[in-house]
Amino acid sequence: MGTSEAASLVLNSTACAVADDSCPNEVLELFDAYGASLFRFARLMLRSHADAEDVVQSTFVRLIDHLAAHRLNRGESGSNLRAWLFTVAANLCRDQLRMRKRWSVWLPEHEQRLTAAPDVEARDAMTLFLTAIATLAPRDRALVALKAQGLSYRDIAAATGVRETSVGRLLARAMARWHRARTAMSHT
Amino acid sequence: MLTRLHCLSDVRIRAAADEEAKPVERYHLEACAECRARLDEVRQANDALREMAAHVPVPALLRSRVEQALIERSDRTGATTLRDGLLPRVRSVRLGMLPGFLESLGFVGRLTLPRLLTAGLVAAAVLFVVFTLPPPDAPRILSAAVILDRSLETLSPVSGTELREFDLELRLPYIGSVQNGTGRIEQLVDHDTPGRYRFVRYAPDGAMVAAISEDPLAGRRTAIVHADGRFFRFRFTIEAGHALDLAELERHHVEAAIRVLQIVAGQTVSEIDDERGKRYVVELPAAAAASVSGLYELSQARVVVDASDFQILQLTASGSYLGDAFSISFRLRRRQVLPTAQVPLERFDVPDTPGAVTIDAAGTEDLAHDLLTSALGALARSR
Repeated sequence: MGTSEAASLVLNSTACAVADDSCPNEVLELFDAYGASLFRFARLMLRSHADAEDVVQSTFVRLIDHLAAHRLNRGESGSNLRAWLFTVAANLCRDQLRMRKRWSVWLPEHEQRLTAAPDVEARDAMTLFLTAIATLAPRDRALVALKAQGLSYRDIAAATGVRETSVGRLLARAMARWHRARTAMSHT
Repeated sequence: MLTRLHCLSDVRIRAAADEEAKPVERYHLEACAECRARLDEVRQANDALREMAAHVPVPALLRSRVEQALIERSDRTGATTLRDGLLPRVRSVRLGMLPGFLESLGFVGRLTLPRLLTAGLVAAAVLFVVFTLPPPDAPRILSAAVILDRSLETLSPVSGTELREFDLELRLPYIGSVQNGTGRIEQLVDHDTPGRYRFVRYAPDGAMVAAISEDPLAGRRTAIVHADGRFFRFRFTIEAGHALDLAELERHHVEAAIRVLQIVAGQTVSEIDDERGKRYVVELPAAAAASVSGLYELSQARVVVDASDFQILQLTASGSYLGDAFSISFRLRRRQVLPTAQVPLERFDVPDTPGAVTIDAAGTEDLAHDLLTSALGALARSR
């Protein structure tokens, strides 16, 4: 049982009482289509499930304004919306990383505990995967995480702010670094 | 057309694996076995990446959370005003209740009363931030003392059922090693019915570590303890007058903790203004390390307050007690108040724990005593 279950169970009773205008099904449909993928992207970018949840939630809240602003432009394709969602999520992830650096007073040992490769847990494939991703610089991490969600070079460029013509080169380097990190950790 | 003499670079092989190759490159790949082999290698790496990423677990309740966020955004009605009035008086804390209080947070270890008191104070310094400061008609300049004063004003219970979730990182010297570390706490408190609550502690991976619930309306108290790889579920019947109001106790601790923070000197207040809005930071720099009674030393503390609604968002603190270092880090994730009538009754029971060892007993006000005696009783009966 997750920590949010009580909240959700509590809230489910009120959710349906809200008018359609307040609970836009359109956004929830988009969540069903892209929510899991966005969460996985954010989880690879950040250190915790909780932070990734925050990013996904904020992304879809912002989507309401985005859709309202483009209400007249119903021709916006699903592909464009997907790229927009990942761009917003990538920006929020960057904000999270910056905010943490700026004013989270984590103690040194705390930081070390969070970033060090846990020798025992690294035997677990998922832990190894996430730990290897976490060793990458933020831009490399973003490139790899977006690629893992199947985004095109064009969409990756939009989300990361790098030129589309540079995505392939940068992604190749990032993948090589990730591969090296994974290989090194699997041998420890 | 490219020939074998013009094999693709690693970058272009990567582009081909990513379905971004140009037509001329695709022709070359059809003709060149060497490049195709390199392409297969990169594709395998891509597949491995995608497969692993696809197995990153997605919280089942994420959709509900997003849905609620959308609702809350629509329902936002603006700030309320800060209440006028006197600061709440400091009431005495019943020390006999401290073991239960700490147990409720899952603290199990070498517990003696003085140590419990220490841990309780430190934990209380964290827990005060779960309360929120009401949005005031804010003065232009806020001092640390004013901010802390207003935090005291907020300690009066609200009406309805309050849900709070917060991340908590503890490094306390006198609690069990299992409980030190990072976890998430969920608290559900019915402010309309004294002593009705549910506290649950989760590990970072989402697994429940400990829980306690009490419902005077149903005459029950349930505590869950995880030990030796299994859950133990203690079900106590409680009678009128034997309620253990942990929420109220927590409130007393919060008051005490804020008083401690108020009497130390050297706090500074600064503002942060970014895309998330303005926040106040009340900080006790390391240079202004404070000592309370020569026993409890606060070497650093920092509280971050959202200036728009005065919710305290983060707290970190470190110091020592009797020479033993401690550190705490708190981050509020969610706070919500709902009409109690909308909260299902079963929400005030602890989560299901299939396979748990269940022990039934009569409860008193002393949870630690009840846990110990009922466990020993069960042990004796099993022999």
